[in-house]
Amino acid sequence: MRILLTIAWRNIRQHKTKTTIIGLIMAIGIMVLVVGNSLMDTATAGIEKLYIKNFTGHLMVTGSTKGRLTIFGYEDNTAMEQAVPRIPDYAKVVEFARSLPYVEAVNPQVSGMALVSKDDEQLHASLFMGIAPDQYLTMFPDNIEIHAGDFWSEGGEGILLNKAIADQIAEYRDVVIEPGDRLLLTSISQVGGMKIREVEVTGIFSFKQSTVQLDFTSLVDTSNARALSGMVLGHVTPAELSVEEQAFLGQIDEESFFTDFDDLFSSVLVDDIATDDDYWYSIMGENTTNDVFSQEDTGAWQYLLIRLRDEKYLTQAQADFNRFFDEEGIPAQTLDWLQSAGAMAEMSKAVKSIFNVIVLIIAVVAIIIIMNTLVIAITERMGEIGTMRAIGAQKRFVRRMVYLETLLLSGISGLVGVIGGAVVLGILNLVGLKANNIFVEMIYGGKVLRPELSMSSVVMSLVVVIVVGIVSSTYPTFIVMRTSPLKAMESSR
Amino acid sequence: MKRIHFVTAVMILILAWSVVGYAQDFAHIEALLDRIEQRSSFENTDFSALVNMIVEDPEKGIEKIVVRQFSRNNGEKFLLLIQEPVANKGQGHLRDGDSLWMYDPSSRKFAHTSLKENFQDSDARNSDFVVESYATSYEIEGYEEGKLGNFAVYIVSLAAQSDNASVPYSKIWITKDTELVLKVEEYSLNRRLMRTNLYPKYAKVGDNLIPVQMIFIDELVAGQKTQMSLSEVSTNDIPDHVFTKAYVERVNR
Repeated sequence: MRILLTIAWRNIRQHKTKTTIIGLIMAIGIMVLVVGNSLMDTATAGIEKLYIKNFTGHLMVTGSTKGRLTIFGYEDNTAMEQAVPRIPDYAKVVEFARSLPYVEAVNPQVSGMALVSKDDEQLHASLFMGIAPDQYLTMFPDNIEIHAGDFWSEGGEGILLNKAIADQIAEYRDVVIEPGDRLLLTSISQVGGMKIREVEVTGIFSFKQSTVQLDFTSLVDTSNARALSGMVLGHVTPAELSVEEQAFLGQIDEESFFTDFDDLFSSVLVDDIATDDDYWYSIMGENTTNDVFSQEDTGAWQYLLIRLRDEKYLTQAQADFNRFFDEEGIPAQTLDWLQSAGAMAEMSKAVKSIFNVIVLIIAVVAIIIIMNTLVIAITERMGEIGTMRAIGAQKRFVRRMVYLETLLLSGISGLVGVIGGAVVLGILNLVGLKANNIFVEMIYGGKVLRPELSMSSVVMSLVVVIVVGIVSSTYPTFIVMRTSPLKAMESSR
Repeated sequence: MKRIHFVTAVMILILAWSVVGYAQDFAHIEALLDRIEQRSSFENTDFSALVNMIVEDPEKGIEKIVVRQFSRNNGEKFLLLIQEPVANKGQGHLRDGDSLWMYDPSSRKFAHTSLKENFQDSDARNSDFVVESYATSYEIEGYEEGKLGNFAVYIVSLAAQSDNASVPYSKIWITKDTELVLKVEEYSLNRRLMRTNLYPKYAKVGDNLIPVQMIFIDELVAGQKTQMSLSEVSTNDIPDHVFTKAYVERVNR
């Protein structure tokens, strides 16, 4: 073996030019693989980290529902038709979550969307998250930057307006929003009707890592968020219909409505309206029931976000929660971070898959070039191998020598490629790749990507180069071995 | 040669006659649409009614909405007060010219919208969406005579010709003798039937004839239907203070 290694090393050194060219091609190929895969790995981990660390946690608990529910509300055509369900038996659910040893932190939330007005002028719209600041900051300690003001006081009310919204209002409406200003938030939905709340701006903030959707999201105290989301004690009672109204339910035969002329005219009362104040101020009847129906459902939440001690507990956590819901008969469900992060995160993943395919194509091209170079290099040495065989070298000896040479060359080139890739990635990490449009931002999972050397890409690249080396030297060696030494020596002339 | 001239002249005459004939037919239908519109207009009177809506949804079930409506000058000023569902009781929409206020009784707050603002950054204005007229927003594509139930009707095909039109194409069934609209079909741009509206009951209110029962059938979602009926209809004068924010607040106390 030692002799073989010496011969192989000597051969590599003897064909300096050839070795340098082949080595360089292989090193560049490996570098491309390492850099490309590391970029993709960093970006994938980036999106996951971005959402898990800053917005969703590992797991989200919500009430059972059919629609596509995310932390921003429904992201399908049921958004206007159904309210986000409240988590049933919230106290029990949160107690169970806290009892699990692998649960690190929990954070309840409410979501919604509202029109933002000030002084009778409609300024913008904003998604909002209703939060309890202390729990939110425990769960996401480092995801926001407050530019002015602060959170509302404990038990108080207020809105932390997103700076992106405040900037747009200043630019397009020429209105500067500052802490202390009072804004009107109006939410309208088919389910909850219309809700208006006046809320004080307690601060202006931005998410440290953001997306277009998050730039559109503000933080609101839970009381106002619940009111705007229609989370009141009142519930929908079944409609009471008259006999005439019931006649029109279900399938109707339109021809049957138009049979008799007299039937076309209703006996509807055409009233003379009374003109006294009593009439005008009592038309709404008793209003006390309204107060009961619009009382805030304190303690109700739509989402419970859960951060685990490690992502490896995710499957176990989902299984434990589902078992708990079944045992207790609680109509709730769990969603992982990707489901709860919504369309933007999924779109980022989809766009990234396309880029993964591109990287794969580049990798295949690099592999083909490396293989081709090796095949040519060995075929060119046919005469030399023929001579060795003529002076008594066994087939097995020659084959092992060629493999060893290839392995040495691949190993050294691979190492050089990995080092080169690491240097390139180091520079990119220092400089930071800035996303100059939303498309790139989606791939990066943020505004700047600082790629890191991914160990999986290093291992994969080295394995690839060694396998490629062995595969690409097997075929020409096989050809050379089948050729008689005499013919092989002749071919070198 | 003379024979050729004679044939040409006859052909031109026939063509001219047919064109004039068509124009006359359309003029008759246009006049009919004008009369229908005049008859349901409340330009110089106040109008109030209690509007009942029953919304049938195959998934959500049946929902009842009751709204009290006060209107002046064809909606130039109006007030809508929700009476049912109870959870939304007292919510109001008050319009005065270009201003629209929404009122939430649970917070006792008004939110203001200007109807002068462009609708979602389009060229259309919010106010453009308020009035729709068959006579001015649509042109007649053609008509035929037919029957609906036991009534002889004109079936008029209309195509939108202004931004005020809510649908690109529609077809309306009008009784020939009493000139009542009994049915309307609304079509999309590619002529797909989207909604069928039936008007099985009318009432005489002052000099006007208005539908007091309407059924709107969603043709895109099977089983989705809304029936709307009007009661306590009146054209008596409504006090000015009804169209004020103060009234909306006070009536909710």
